[in-house]
Amino acid sequence: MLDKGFLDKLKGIVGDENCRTDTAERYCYAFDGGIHRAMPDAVVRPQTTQQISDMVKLANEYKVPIIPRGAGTALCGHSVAISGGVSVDLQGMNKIKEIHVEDLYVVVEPGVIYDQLNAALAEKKFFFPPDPGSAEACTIGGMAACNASGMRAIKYGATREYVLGLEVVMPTGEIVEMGSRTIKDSSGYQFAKFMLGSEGTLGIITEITLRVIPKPKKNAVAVAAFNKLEEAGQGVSNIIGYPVLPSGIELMDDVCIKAVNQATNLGLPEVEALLLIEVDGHPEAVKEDIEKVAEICKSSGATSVEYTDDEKRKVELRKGRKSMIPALSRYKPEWAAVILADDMAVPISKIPQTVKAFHEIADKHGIIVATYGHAADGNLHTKVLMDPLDPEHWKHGEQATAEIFEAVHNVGGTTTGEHGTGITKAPYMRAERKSLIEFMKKIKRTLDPNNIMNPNKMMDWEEGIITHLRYPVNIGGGTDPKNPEGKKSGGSD
Amino acid sequence: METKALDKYKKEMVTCTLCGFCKSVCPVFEHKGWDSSVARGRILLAYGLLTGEIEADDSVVDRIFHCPTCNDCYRRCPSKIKTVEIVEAARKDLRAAGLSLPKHETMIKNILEYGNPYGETENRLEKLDLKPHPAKLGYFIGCTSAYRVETNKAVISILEKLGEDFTILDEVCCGSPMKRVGGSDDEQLQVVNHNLDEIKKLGIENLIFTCAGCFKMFKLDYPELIGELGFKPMHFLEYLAEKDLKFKPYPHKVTYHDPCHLGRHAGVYDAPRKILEKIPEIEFQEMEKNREFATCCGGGGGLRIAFPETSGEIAGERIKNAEFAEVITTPCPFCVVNLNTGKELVGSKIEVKDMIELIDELLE
Ligand SMILES: Cc1cc2nc3c(=O)[nH]c(=O)nc-3n(C[C@H](O)[C@H](O)[C@H](O)COP(=O)(O)OP(=O)(O)OC[C@H]3O[C@@H](n4cnc5c(N)ncnc54)[C@H](O)[C@@H]3O)c2cc1C
Ligand code: SF4
Ligand code: SF4
Repeated sequence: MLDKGFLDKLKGIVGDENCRTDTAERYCYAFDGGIHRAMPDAVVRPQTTQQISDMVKLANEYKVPIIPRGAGTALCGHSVAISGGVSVDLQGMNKIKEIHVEDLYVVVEPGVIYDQLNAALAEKKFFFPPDPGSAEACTIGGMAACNASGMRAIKYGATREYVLGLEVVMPTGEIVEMGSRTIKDSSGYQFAKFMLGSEGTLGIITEITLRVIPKPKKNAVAVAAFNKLEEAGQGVSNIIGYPVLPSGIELMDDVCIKAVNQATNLGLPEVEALLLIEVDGHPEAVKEDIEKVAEICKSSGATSVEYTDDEKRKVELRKGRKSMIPALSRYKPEWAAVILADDMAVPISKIPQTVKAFHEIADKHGIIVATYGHAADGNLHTKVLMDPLDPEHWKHGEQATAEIFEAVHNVGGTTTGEHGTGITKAPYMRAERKSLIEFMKKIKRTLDPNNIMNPNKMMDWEEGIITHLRYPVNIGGGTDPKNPEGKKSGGSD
Repeated sequence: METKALDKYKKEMVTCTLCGFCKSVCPVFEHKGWDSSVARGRILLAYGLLTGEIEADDSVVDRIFHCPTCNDCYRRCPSKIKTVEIVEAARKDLRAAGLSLPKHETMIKNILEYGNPYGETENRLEKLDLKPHPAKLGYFIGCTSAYRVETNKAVISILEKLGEDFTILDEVCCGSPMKRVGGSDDEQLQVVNHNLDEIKKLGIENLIFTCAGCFKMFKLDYPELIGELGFKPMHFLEYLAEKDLKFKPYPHKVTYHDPCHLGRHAGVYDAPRKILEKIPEIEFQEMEKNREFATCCGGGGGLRIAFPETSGEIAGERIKNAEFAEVITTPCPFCVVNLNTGKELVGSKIEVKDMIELIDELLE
């Protein structure tokens, strides 16, 4: 429960209409796109940077946690109010403030949706490339806070490659401008970059200056089927090593293929791996590259390859990948696709052995792990298919997740390629980055002495992952219907 | 709170991946902005009611009822979550627990007492001076057309021009308004059985509708309630699209609004376009969001009556999308009424025209 004095002052800052403590809001903001949930005590929708600064100062005075939040699409409990407090919904600050394509930058508020920014830029033949799978829903603030990226990262990089400057309300309420509006900038600590991936633990981003680039004139798509995962992996390495720099290579394993065939009449070839390869750029280069890609796939062992630059056919070829997520979520009547393990990156050449290891782990635990991902940058995604209402499945799910990350770390991979850490990845990040954890904690304690900014996440999450679950299943210490608040004690330390 | 209706949707609710993609389409979310006002939020609230984690207080009731059941979330949803069914089930359970909205309660009472949601006491056939007779083709007038607009006259005039032998029936409300806001099966069956008896009595084989809500109710919800219908519900436009119609020229720039319950729910997209194509000199242009992508007029699902402000704002947005045209036409009388509200709100000059009346005016 929030102190009444705090709440009154909070309403005074953001306005009554922008502050709610109703059940409906507290419950809905308890969740993000992941498996955890815990209710905030209040939800606010600030409209200005000054309001945010005043609110953060007030929160310090009362030692109330503040949880910044964009669209709530992050997948690891990032914006789940695990210590209660105030959820700060930034979706209402959604103005594209300036577009200067001639100077290669735009200035936006944090609540601008990725796709909406690109729709505005498309009119000027420019774009902001990272293209996360959640493009139509996620905010630029959320992307910066998570250093989001997507299938084009191999060619265009992640959000960090585009953030030139930030305005941030620091955990103690100061408004700080970081970076610049120029392409080059080497004055002092590169703090704007440092904030990327901070997941709301080091401040609230209130304005973002992004570099933008011209849209490629053309693109083409190829789909290649491989009987053996190893051959697909070799195909990816051969394409990149040739060198052809694709704008994306998506991998689907046999579980994904089976799921799509089960749910649609697309009739994908039932092989161990499918690759969807895209190239973009100048029309002549695109033609040359896609032909080369097809040739390399064949020589790497593909049983079939099709490529096209025809708009209609491209849509057809992408259909398999597009229908994969719904197909997986309905793989078996009582099962669902659960966000466990979810996102990891390995050296590209290690993809085949890693996917095989995932399958073996799944078999051992009686669950199904579907693997797909952005193969060109070694970024794999898994969906764990299991009955989310069966406590046994959760036990196996947890063990399988630990083994999956062990397999990833063993081949020199990392715990998360793009989705970030939050709660669900915290134990594995800690295992991977042993020497960094204490240093991260020191930075956090220095910048956020009252530990109010999205507390108990990442390096500070010390419990396991099968806890505070969104699903109505009781696994000792997990969801307790009598404690819907699902709160962890504390908030300040 | 008992959750008999929601129990059926437990798996559906946990299958929602909470991806938030529904935010990109939900007209109520666009208007309200809070995460509780989108399909994802409504599913979570319904799920909280099911698990008993939350109390159905005013805020929860408000968010669950604040949805025109437009089904655009289902269209966009990567996991094809049946949000509208979940919302309707939640409303059913809330209502069974005595937690519905007073305006909806009056509406349901009116339907059961007077056979229409408006509380009109005059029998519609007497009001319209019509008498049923046995015929293979039936026309279900619907309450809005009977009491609020004059579409019925246009339908009858068209059928007469075509020389069809058709009948109206001693109908009562189709039940759609109460189904949308949580009417129980028993309450729905009262009107359903009355209408089915009347249809049977007259030997109707094809029953035509203009109201998208009535049509969806007969085509999709009646079979859920009672199984095989024994006759074919058809939207009037589907019926007309198969006819050889000759029109007078209509030299105007026209656009078409797809009613959610006709388009996304019942899958009728081609018939209206096929008819508009036949009109000489018409300059037809689609709105940017058309067919399955069409945005809602904001009128359905009990929203207009309970939350006129939200409903009007959504209608205003739809009107703004159509302002390149002189005329926006749509066959659903309920959409016509709501789009007119939106037109007034945004001060637009566009003409909102009932497509059935347009057809009647132009049909030679
Ligand atoms: C279907 C699906 C596909 C996805 N695909 C991808 C993908 O391809 N690549 C990828 O990188 N991610 C992906 N994601 C994850 C997620 O969408 C991204 O991380 C996205 O950037 C989160 O943005 P958001 O606005 O939803 O942020 P939220 O989920 O609201 O917040 C995420 C974190 O950022 C913090 N935060 C948000 N806004 C601010 C702010 N203004 N200032 C400070 N902190 C802030 C929050 O505190 C939280 O810790 C996917 C998610 C889904 C559901
Ligand atoms: S309803 Fe569908 S689109 Fe919306 S959050 Fe759930 S899965 Fe995503
Ligand atoms: S039916 Fe329409 S209004 Fe209701 S949640 Fe879905 S998109 Fe939103």
